[in-house]
Amino acid sequence: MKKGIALGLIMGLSVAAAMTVSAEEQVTLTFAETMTSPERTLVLEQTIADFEAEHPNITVELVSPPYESAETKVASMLAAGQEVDIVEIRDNSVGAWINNDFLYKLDDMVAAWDGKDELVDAALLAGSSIGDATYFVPQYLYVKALMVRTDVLEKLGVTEMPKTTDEFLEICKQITDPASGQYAFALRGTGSPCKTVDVMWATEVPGISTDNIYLTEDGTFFMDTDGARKAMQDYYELYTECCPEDAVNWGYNEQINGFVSGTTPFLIQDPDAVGSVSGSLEPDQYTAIPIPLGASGKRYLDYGYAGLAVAANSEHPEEAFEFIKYMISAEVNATICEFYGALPVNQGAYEASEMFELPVYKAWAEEMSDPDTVFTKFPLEDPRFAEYSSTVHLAAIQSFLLGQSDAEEMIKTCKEYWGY
Amino acid sequence: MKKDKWYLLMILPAIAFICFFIFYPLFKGGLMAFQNYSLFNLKDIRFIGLENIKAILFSKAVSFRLILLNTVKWLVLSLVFQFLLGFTLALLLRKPFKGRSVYCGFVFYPWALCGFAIGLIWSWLFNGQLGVINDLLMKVGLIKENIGWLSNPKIAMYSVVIANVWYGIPYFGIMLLAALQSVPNELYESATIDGSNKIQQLFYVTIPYIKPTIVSTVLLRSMWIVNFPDLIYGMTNGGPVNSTHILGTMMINKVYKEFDYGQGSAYGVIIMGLLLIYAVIYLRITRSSEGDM
Repeated sequence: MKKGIALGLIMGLSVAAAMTVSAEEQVTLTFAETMTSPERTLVLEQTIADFEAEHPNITVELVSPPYESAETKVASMLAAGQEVDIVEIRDNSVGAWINNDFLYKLDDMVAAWDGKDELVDAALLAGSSIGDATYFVPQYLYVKALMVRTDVLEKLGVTEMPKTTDEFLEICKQITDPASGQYAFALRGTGSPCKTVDVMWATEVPGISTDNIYLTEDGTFFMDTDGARKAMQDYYELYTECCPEDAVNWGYNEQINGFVSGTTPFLIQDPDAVGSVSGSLEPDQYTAIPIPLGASGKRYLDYGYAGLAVAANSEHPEEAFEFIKYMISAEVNATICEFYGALPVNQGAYEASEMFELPVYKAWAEEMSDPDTVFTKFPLEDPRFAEYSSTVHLAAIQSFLLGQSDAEEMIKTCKEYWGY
Repeated sequence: MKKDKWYLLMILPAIAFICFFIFYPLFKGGLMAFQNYSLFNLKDIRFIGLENIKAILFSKAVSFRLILLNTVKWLVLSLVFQFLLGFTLALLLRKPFKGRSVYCGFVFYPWALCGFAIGLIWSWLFNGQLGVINDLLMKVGLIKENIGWLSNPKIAMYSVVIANVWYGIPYFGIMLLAALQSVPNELYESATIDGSNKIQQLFYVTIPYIKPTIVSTVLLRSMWIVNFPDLIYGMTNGGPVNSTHILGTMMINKVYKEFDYGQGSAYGVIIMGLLLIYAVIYLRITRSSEGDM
């Protein structure tokens, strides 16, 4: 009887102890995505299920606000101190989130993370590019390159790819024939065109600052230079002679459509455009080449990114970072990037996925490692950039292209806005 | 007295619901219009008086005068054509005919679509290179070159208005058809005996009879049109060169692109103020014309 009581007590205590331990270790994380789409949410849900299977003590709850208002909603959640542990960040708003103390400093955790050596250099650079510390780890990168419909160009008698901006303009003029509906360039007319235009113009300007694409090393506003004036004239000719008139109103979808239909066989875009065109084009119909070089002999590119961060008020930062590490691991990073076509940050992802072995991605790798490529930044941390890109520059460039204002007026508008 | 209090208690949840979901956001929005409230710096939220309104009125980036003129153009053109075509549709559908219900279903379909979707559909229809509209006009020989419907600042506003008219016709069609069906046939019979023709019957019987419906639908629709930037956003994003930016699209821009809730709310307050003035003037005019009758 006594033995039975003792056995019962021991078993009871053991169960209680086990329950206490599991209760202590069981952690629930809230993960807020900001690049929501139904298909992508399914990919994330599967990834979370796999993570939970590997980490039975961690449960991840996914919050998926609608894409259009996702960032403002997640920002409101963070501002209100709601329980969020992991957030998806985007390059255009991460500065604001850091400024508002929404994000947790990851320096110590990143330093102790062996897997960081698997990341491409640009990812580490991007991760520490904003603010006084490392606040996020990029998931994927966007770097602009010139996408080319090789099959269309071949039919039009172009086999040599342009290496300089002059060669590019010449080929564009040569292949354009409005009568047959053939144009050359899928111009970005709306939806922050400055991200494309400024990269195209900056290459004509020597000594662009690596901290701010809008300034030269001696502090001159980049548009207010002879190189930029030449670039503006070229760009005007490119629009008026080599693009459909409608292109001044083209956003991403129209650009992709022009490229896929072959109407405009040249397109400057981020690698996620591959994800958009690969469903309609065979891999041998297109490729990407480095952005043609201007008078400076350098191409100044920025690296756009989207990444993951731990919320400053997270009660489980260690577990949250564990989840981030899982998301950045080679295979998961490849799966997530396959969905978009954007460049993975984990070097192993390029081997883990057949998609990233396509020649078109090799071109991006080539461009990024080219000694003529200089990485710089858009002033994303400056609150004025949002208005500049979505309103001021947009109206100025459209007005310039439509002949309503000249280059000097555009320079004046942009220069006065920045006060450089 | 006790009975009254009991009723008050019963309606309390409804009042609380309305206060929380309608009046609180309205109050909060109004408050934010006078605050420095930007997502870029939530640590510095403070009252700044009329600074947001001033920033909008005297903005160098986008002329307020242009935005206001665009809004008036957008409202007047959309409203006039939606009303005229909607009223015509209602008159045509008034008399029963075989398959009327099915036909009504098709005709009223646009009203069921969301603004952004309509914007996308029409932006492809108006696409300068691949758009159906250019293709059709070309085939019937009306144009020889593609027209940049959405890329030419001189005609972009008319293009988005056409899309809006297409969207809004069913609203007037539905509402006015319901009103027309309530006009007693005896009135038409008496008018016919008195020797009036169809046009006279329209102006002296139909319109006066359904005038209350016309007044309220026009007022409501005006407010909705001003508050309907979704379509423009989907089609032109306010461009080219701000030629299609209205107050509503600027508000979206401020909040979702620039993350400036303060100026976004200030746009909201301006819209509300202008609509209030419009409603007062409109109701006064329509009431005084009622008195004249």
